[in-house]
Amino acid sequence: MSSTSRARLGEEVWKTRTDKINAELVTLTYGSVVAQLCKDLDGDYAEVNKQLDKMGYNIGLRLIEDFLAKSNMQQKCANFRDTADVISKVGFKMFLNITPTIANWSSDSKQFSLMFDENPLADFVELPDDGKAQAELWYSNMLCGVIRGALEMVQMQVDAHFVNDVLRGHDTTEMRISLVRYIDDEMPADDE
Amino acid sequence: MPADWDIWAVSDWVTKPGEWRNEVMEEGPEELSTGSRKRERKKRRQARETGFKCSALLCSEPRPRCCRWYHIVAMVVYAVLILNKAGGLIFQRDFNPGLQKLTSNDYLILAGTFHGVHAITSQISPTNETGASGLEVLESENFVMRCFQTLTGTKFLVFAEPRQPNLDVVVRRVYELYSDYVMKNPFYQIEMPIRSEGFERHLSAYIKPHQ
Amino acid sequence: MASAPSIPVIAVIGKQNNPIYIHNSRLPLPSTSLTTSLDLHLLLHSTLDVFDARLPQKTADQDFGLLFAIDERLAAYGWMTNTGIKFVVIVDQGFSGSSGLSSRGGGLGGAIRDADLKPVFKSIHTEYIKLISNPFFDHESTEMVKSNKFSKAIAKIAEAGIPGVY
Repeated sequence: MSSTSRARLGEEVWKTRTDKINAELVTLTYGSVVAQLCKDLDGDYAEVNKQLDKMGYNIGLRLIEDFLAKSNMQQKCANFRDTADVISKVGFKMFLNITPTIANWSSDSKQFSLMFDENPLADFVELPDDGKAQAELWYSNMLCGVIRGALEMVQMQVDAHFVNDVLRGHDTTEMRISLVRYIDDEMPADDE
Repeated sequence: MPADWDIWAVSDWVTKPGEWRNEVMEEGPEELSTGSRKRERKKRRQARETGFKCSALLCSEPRPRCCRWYHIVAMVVYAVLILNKAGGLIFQRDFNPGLQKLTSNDYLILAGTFHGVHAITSQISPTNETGASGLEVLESENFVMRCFQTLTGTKFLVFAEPRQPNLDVVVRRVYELYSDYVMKNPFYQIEMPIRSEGFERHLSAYIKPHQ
Repeated sequence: MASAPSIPVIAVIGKQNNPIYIHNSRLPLPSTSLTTSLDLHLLLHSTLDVFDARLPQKTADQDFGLLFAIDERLAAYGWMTNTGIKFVVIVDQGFSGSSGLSSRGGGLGGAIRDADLKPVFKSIHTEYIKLISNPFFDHESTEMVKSNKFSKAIAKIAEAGIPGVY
């Protein structure tokens, strides 16, 4: 499947097979989750990041089924570059109606960056001005967890984390995704 | 034509007034007015007179006859099973009262065995394409079984009457229902047996009206 | 020699009549009644009485129009949301030339009609909504808002002036 036909597929799923809800509701819901976590964990932002990632992971495990059922993908991706393309053009398109740009491939094709030109989760957000949040909190960290969980279900163990965020004053929002390994879980080792 | 004749016989039987409605509601737009229902009926009559010609608006099948009546009208599904990626049975449901009853242990064995067979068939594929899908269809004199394995490793098995067409459509629809009503339920534990009223209800709503 | 009307002050006042945000770009303005920031605070305080006085007569409309004219150059306009948040805009009509008065024939405030301020208030309202949509915004806080985004947006609105009035 070519890159353009993936873009078309993402567009089509978004238009015809996705139930839409109000964007503000999503943004505010996500925002209050993060803010409440920050409050409950007493500004331990490293822990907040971890919790967000965990929540995202649990979402990813489930969301992948919806993704596969709706997008009607039947073929496994041939390589990690294909996977990146599908994540950006179909995955993000159908769930958030954005298409992050893929950039900064490592030479072994195992790491890439997703550059978010827009981030619906972070509309309206300004990080708290306590001197710590700007340096420690990755506000949209749930997205990392979602990708990690979803890819794990299709036999890819990846590591995903943000490296830049406009909320922190950086120029771009950038998520780094690196393939750790392909999981071979078809046959458990102690079978027989 | 004789090969298709029995399908049309079934179609006549199902399109008795009262029962016909369900079937249109399933695939067509939900708010069909009386007018469009009449039009639909007329189209149907014409098609019967003029032979097999697809009149379904949403028909995406290349074949010249109407896949819509074809796969919706004459649908006899016996049972649906769902296996998790470890081969454990997480859902089992019969849709036909006449089926032979198995004990729950037997079902588990059936699922485990099938899982093994599926794994073997995907390993011994004679073609050397990578990522062979494994067993997909199993036919016998009395039933046909269609297996659909998702990329995440979950397997959907649909048992139906022999020569039941378009089982792949049915199985994909079951997958969609599963992704909606099982996976999106935040309290469902992944890989565990499915006890979801919503899923059962929507599944029977999809399969039962056509039995 | 009437110069274009400008907006030197935009104030946001909370439900408990607590100041939430005050933008003043060109104060103190010499040769007006606003020369110190204390003047400004007293002035904003007095607008609150006007809000209170007019409130019983108000229907659904949020626009309070001209609250009062401060002197021949400055006038205060008000807007109160249904949640009790008040926006006050102080308009500087430039040097009060007679041409402005006669051509537009406004009320006490002079050349500007109440309706001219509507888009200004609407954009302030929009910015305020964005401000409180920030998940880290503390609704219970009684302190003034410190938000760069909001400050910038309000400064921009003040900069833009009143659309359609020159």
